Amino acid sequence: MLALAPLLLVVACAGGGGTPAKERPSASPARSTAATKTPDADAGPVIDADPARLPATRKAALDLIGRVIADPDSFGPGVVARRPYESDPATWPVLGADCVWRQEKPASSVLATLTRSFEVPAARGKGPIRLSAVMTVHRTREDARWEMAESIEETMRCPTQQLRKGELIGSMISSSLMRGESAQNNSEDALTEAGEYRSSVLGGPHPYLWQQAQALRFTVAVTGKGAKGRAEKEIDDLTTQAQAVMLTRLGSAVAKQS
Amino acid sequence: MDELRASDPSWIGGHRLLGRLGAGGMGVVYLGRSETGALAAVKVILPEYAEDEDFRARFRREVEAARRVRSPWAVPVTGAGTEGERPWLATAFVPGPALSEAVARCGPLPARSVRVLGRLLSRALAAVHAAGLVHRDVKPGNVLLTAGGPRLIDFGIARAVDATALTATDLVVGTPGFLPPEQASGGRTAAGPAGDVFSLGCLLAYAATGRPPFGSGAAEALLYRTVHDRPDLEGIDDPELRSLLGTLLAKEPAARPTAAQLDGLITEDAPDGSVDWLPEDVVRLIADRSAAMLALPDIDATTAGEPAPGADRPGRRRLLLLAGAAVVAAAGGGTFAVREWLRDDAPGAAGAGERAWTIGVQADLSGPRSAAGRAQERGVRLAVERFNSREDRPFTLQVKALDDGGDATRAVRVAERFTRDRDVLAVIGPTGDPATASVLGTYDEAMLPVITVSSLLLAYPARSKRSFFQAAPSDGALAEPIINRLLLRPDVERLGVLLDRSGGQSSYQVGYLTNMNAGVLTTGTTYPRVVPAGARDLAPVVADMLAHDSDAFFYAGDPAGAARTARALAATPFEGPRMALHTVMGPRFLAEAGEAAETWEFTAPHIDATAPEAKEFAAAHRRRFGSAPGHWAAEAYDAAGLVVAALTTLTKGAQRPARAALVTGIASATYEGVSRTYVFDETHRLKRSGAYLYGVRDGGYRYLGRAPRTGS
Repeated sequence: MLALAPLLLVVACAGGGGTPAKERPSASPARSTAATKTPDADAGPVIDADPARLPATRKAALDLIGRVIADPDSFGPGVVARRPYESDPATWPVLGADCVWRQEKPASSVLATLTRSFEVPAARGKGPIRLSAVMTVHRTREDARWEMAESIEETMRCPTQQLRKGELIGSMISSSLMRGESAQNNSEDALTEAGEYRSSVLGGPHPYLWQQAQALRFTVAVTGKGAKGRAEKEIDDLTTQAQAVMLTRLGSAVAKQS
Repeated sequence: MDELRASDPSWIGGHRLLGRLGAGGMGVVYLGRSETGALAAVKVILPEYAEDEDFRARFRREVEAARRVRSPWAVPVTGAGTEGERPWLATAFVPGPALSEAVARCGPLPARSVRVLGRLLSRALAAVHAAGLVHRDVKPGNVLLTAGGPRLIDFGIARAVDATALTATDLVVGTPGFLPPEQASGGRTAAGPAGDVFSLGCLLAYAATGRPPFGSGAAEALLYRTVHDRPDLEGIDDPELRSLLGTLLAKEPAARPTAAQLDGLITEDAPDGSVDWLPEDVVRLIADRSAAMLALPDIDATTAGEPAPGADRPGRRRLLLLAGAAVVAAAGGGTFAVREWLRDDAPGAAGAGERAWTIGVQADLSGPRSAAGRAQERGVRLAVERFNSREDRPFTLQVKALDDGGDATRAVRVAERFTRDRDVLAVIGPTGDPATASVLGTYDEAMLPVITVSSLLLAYPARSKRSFFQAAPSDGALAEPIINRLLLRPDVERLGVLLDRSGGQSSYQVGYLTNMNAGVLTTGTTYPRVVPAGARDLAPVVADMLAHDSDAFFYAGDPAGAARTARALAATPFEGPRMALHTVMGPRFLAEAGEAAETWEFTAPHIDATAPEAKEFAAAHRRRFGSAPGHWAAEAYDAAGLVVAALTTLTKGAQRPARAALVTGIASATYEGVSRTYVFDETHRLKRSGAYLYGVRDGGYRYLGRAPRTGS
């Protein structure tokens, strides 16, 4: 147990989340944390939403996702779209009992969901950084909160996960910050996971990062997978940047306009 | 305190009598110790009065009246016997000086202190009036000052508001100089609650100026001036206070505010349970008085009449006598009151001009974790008082406690006050994580050692926290005993872990680590579930966990969720062991889980008063405070002991060590405390930090001993 302590470092974080295939990392404790108020689920939303601007239909939800979800510029310069760029919006990633991710039909609580894939292309002896962004619109805020709970659960039950054939993530440590904890005020709940990524193509272990955040009925997430010659810091900056952009866009898309 | 006389009983009503606090025409007030070890002021009526049925009726009324008042600012009745040969009344013994003595010794109080005093006493009076009583003797001798605030005492002449006129002999009761005009005029007008408010105005004016507002001297002259003259408020420069006193001292009862209104009229923040609103020298007086009480014999020590242990030492003896003087003024009641503030033989405060050596306590004394915060303040006070009572001490320490209410913003202000106060050598606290997270930078900058015993996060966001010590096992270290307790047994193969986000960071960390390390530390497996904060119906989740072969159960969340989980689990055939975190241990879990709470166990960083290792500490705490130590008191006592040990090592002659040197000294110390041995690693976190086990047995929390450790 003592050996774990060093892992449990603080990350003042932002949220983040899934990847294509929801390469949702699994998690492990630690990185994170720090404390502040006891999380208060009823502390009030971080976004003062205009009910008229909240999507009521799947079409409206997809439209909102289109305006909020990250695009290559959201990560900063040097990031490009990957093919296929967008997932089939009729599916989303589910982690099976065997700890393997598969694309399946979303739960009925999901109004719409979309995943996009990006990368920083390989260059001068450095491998590609694969990135993804996910946004999901739930029917209720409670459903979105359950998705956050399930994300933590996934990392607890599957310390090692297969993202897709030939791609594994492991040694995951996940941390959470509810709104108000450690000055986390960007979202109602923010999860961060860090671990190791191994690929039959890109080798490894390389750093793996995942962030997921929830506000109102929405979750947004970003993943980043390292490669040869890429520092964890570089991936951290990319994912944090895109996550912040999505949360900002979400706020301006649904908040009351004065 | 005077020694007992040959004619005095040695026991009354289960109290061993230790000495005489005072005597009046009708009875004697003794200092006694109850069977539980608590000190009490025991008032015993003389046999000749006990035979007088009228008198006995009045005494019964007093007992009944005092029992009806429930307020933190009134002294509680702890026992009474009104029907025996020697009727008696026991109240909690408060060692603090009377306000009259404090003003006589230390001079008038500053305006802010007077306002705080007024506010707290207005609450005491509001409780008296809410009980349907009138105190009728509110005066400086009937207010005791303690580390926890003022206490209103002596309900000897209180009467029910609606009581019909008593006996004809009931002429003027109360103390001239503090009587309201409606009573002073001698008319048949019964003094109502508004009379107490007038008396409180006199008391506050006295506190602000050092003089009763209608002068002193012959009773008749005093009464006359009370009815006809304007109060003497000369010297009160604070316009707000002047105007407030003017309102309280209105001749017309209806023009005065009620006690409850007064509470709202005074805007001064009333610190709950601390003394920082009083001037330093009054605080010192309170501390000395408290320290003197430590020298009193225990219930089972010696027989009455033998000198108290340590009483032969002149220094100690003097302290005791001083303590006695205050008590006489306080407990003796009205007969002494008028004289006592005219006394001019009060010795001056000692040690003027020297810088104080202060240990700060930053605690949540009024917020969500005030029980822990107050227990810690007591732990520190006890450690310091015991140190100060040593003849061979190289220096004398003071305790300064400041309340941050558990609030992050207030916590920063408290930390700033401590860091600015150059007398403060080290701070014990804060109580909870939000406060701790917010002050580490402030303490770091000043290199002022800050030692928490109950903020347990594995990590805090502060960039730099060089002076911070975490003198308790972190949340992470609490996971190991849970795993050992639940999985190292033949009937358990799979541990169900329910992480409820209602529990915040602590629950998250312990839940996560318990799940993650179960398979590392044991051959067992886990089945984890996570639920969002506020999830109401946990039964389906519990059912799912059982369906997945969980044969032991760990809940990481808040008390309400734990109760829901306990109920859900109790409704199933599950019979395996079940645990939760120490943060669940409290009245709420027991109340809401009901019988389903039975057999739940908890892992906690704090030792219990019933632990053999804590026996001596718990006895000292009982002697000092009249009650068993609350959880976290022992750890705070240890932290103060650790600071004292490091200070003692570093102090050369009268030279006080620098704060930074003290940080280094604490970091390298090995200190054997009550709760554990304290040794810090390079990150100032405890090495070898064991935990304790508690369980619900027969509807209450029971201490079960040290938690099992791997390899031990």
